[in-house]
Amino acid sequence: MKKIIYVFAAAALLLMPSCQQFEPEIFDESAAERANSFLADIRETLVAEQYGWTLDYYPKKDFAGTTYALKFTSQKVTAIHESDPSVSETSTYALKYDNASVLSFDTYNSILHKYATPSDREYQAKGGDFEFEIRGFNKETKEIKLVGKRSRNTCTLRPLKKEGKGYLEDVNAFKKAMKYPAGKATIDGVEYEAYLNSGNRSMSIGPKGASSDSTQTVRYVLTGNTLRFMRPFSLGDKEFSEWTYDAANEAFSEGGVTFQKFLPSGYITYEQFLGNFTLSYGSGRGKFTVTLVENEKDNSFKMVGLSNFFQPVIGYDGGRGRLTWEKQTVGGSGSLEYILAPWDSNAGYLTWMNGVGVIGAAVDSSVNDFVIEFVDNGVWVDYKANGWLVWSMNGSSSAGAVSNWTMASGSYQLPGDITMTKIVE
Amino acid sequence: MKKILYILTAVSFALLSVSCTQKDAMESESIIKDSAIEQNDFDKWLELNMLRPYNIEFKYRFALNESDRGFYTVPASVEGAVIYAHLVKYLCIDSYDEVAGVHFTRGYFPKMFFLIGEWEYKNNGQFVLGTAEGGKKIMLAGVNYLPLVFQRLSGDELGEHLNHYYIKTIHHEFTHILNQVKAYTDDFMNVTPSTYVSDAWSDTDNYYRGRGYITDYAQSEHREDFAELLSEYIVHSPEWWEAQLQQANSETAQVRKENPDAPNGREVIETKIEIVRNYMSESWGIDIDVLRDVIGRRLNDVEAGKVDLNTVAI
Repeated sequence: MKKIIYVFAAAALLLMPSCQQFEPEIFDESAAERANSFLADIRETLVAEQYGWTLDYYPKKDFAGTTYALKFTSQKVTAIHESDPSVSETSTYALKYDNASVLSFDTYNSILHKYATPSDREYQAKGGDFEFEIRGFNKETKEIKLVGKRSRNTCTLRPLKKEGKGYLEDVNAFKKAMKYPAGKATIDGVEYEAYLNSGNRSMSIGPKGASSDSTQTVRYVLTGNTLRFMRPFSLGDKEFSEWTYDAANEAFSEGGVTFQKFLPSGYITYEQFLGNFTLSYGSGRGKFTVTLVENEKDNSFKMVGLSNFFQPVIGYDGGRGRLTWEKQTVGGSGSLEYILAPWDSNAGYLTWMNGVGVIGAAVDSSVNDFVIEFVDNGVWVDYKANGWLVWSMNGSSSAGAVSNWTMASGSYQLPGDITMTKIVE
Repeated sequence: MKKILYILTAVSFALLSVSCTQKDAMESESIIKDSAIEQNDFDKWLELNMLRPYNIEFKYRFALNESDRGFYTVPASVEGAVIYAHLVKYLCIDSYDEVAGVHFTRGYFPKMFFLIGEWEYKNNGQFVLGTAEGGKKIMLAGVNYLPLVFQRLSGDELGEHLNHYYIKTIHHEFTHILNQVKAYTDDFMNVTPSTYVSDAWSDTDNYYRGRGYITDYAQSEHREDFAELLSEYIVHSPEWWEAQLQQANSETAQVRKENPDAPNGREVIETKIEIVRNYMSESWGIDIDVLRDVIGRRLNDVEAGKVDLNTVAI
C-alpha cells in the first residue's frame, strides 16, 4: 500500500510541470491581434485604390461568371454591374472574423445582391454569395482571393486602372464585338477544341472528339479584351489563366498557344431557336406545337405549350449551338416537389438525379425548317433518358406520378424519342 | 508517514487541478472585431430607443450565424430596417408598455430582433414571414419590401398589408414566447384535437373557418392555432372579427357535407378565443380587448401618416 502511495505521489509531482504556461511565442502578436491587423490592412487597401476594384463574381447556378466594379470608403461600398454600368448603388460592408477573415456585404444593395436574392420562382436565388472568406492577399499585385461562403466559388478582387463605369463599358463592348462560339489549337501534337457558352460564361475544352469525361468545363469572365478564368487550368504541360483576343484574326491566345475560331457543324444560333416547333414524341406516335421564348438571353428558353401547368426551362449551349434539357422542378404542393423527371421510356425507368437529361442538336443546320433530335446527355450512367414524366418528390423520396398535371401528350408522360422541327412562318 | 504521504498526494493532485484551471472565463463574443465600423445615426437611434430602455438588440446588418442556413436570403436594406424599427417600437413595444406596463415589456418582449431582406422561400412556393427562437429572438423577414409598401398603399389597405405580412408576425411570435414562459392549459388543444393537419394546411380547401380555425395556417398544430388566434384578434377591429365568425358559421354547412358531425365553426372559434382571453388575463394580466383597442388606435396613426417612420435623428 505504501508503495502505491509513493508511486501516486511521484506521478503527481512529475505531472505538475505539464501545466506550466511558458511556451515560447512564435509571433510577436497574439492570433487575435494578427487577425485584427490583417483585417485593418485589407480595409486600408480597399479604401486606398483610386479607381476601386473589379470583382470577378461566380454565382453557383445558371450564370457562371460576371463582373462588378466596386469602390470602397471606410464604411461603405458602391457597386456597378456590367449589366448596366450607368447605375450604381451604395451600401455598407463589414470585415470580420468568423472562422476565417470575412468580407461581408451586410446591408442590401440591389446590384450587389442580385444573384443572391431569392423569389417564389427561384427559392435558391441564383446561388450568389454576399459573404466571402478572404483566402489570399498578394501585396504586390494587390489581388484579393475570395471564396463564397455558400457556393465555395473563387471570386477575385483586382485594382482597377480606370473608373469602374468605363471599365465595364469596355467589357460590354468586347462582349458585343466578340463572336466566337468555338476555337481549336494543337498542343504537343494533340488537337484541342474549346466551346464557349457565352450565355453562361463557361467553356468546355478537351481533345478533339473526346468524350465528356475527357473534357474540362472552365468558367470565365470577360475583361476589355480577354477571357479570364475562375481558376487556371492545364492542357498537356501548358497552363492557362487568361486568354487575349485578337479581333483581326478571330483567335484567342496565351503563352504562345493560339485558339483559332471555327463554327461547329449543326450550329444553331440563339435567335434561330426562338419561335414555333412541331414536337414529335413516342417515335412519331403523337405531335403538338411548342414555342421557345426567351428566358435568359443567350442562355436559356422557356418552352410554352408543353403543359398548361408549367413551362420548362430549356438551356442553350452557345458553344455548340444546341439545346440542353435537364431534370428540373416545375411546381409543388404542400411538402411535395413536382419535377420533370428524365425517363428511359424503352426500359421503363425514371430518375430524379440532377443533371440528367437530353441534348438537342440539329441534324442539318443549313435549312430553315431544321430538325432537332434529342439524345441522352450521358449523365445517367445506367439508362438513357429519352422522355419525360411529371413526378412528385417528398424530400429525397419518390412520391409517385402527378397524374393531374398533364402535358400536351394528354398525360403526365411524354415518351421518347423526341424531335422538334422548326416551323417556318 | 502514511498520513504525510496521503497529504502530499492530495496536495499534489489539488495543485495539479488548480494549476490547470487558470484560464480566463470564456467571452461571449469574438475578440476579433471589425473595430473600424462606426456607429451611424440609425445605430444611435436604436441604442436610445431599444437597447438602453429595453435591452433589445435590433440586428439589421446581416450575420450568417443568426440566419437559418437552410434558406437562401439576403440582408435587410437600411431604409427598410429603419421603417421596421419604428413599427416595432410604435405598434408593439409602446402598445405593450401602455397596456401591461414597461416592466412586462422589459421582462418578456424578445431581446433580439434579426432582420433579413427577403422572405424565407420554401421549394413548394410557401414562404416564412418570421420565426421565434428560445423565447429571446425573433427573425423578421421581407424587410426590403417595406419602403415600396408605404409608397404604393395607404389607409386601410396599408394597415391590412402591414398586419398580414409584418406586424401580426411579431405578435404571433411573441405569443409563442409567452407560451414558452407560461404554458396554456390542455383544454385548448382538446377543442379541435383531430383536425390539425401539420404541413398539409396549404393543401386544404378554403373552409378552414368552418372547421374552427381563424386562418389556414392555424390548422397546422395547436401552438400555431393559439398564436394565430391571439395575433389576428389583437391586430384587427371588432367588425373584422365578427365578419370572420359569420363566415365560419356559413362555412359550417360546407364542412358538414363531408363530415355531418362537424361542430359549428363559429362556436369552435369562440370557444378557443375564450381560452386565449382567459390565458392572457390570468397568466399576464392583459385584457385582449384593451390591447386590441390600443394597437388599433396606433395602427390608425400609422395609416394616417401621423408617425414619422423614416427619421432617426436624435
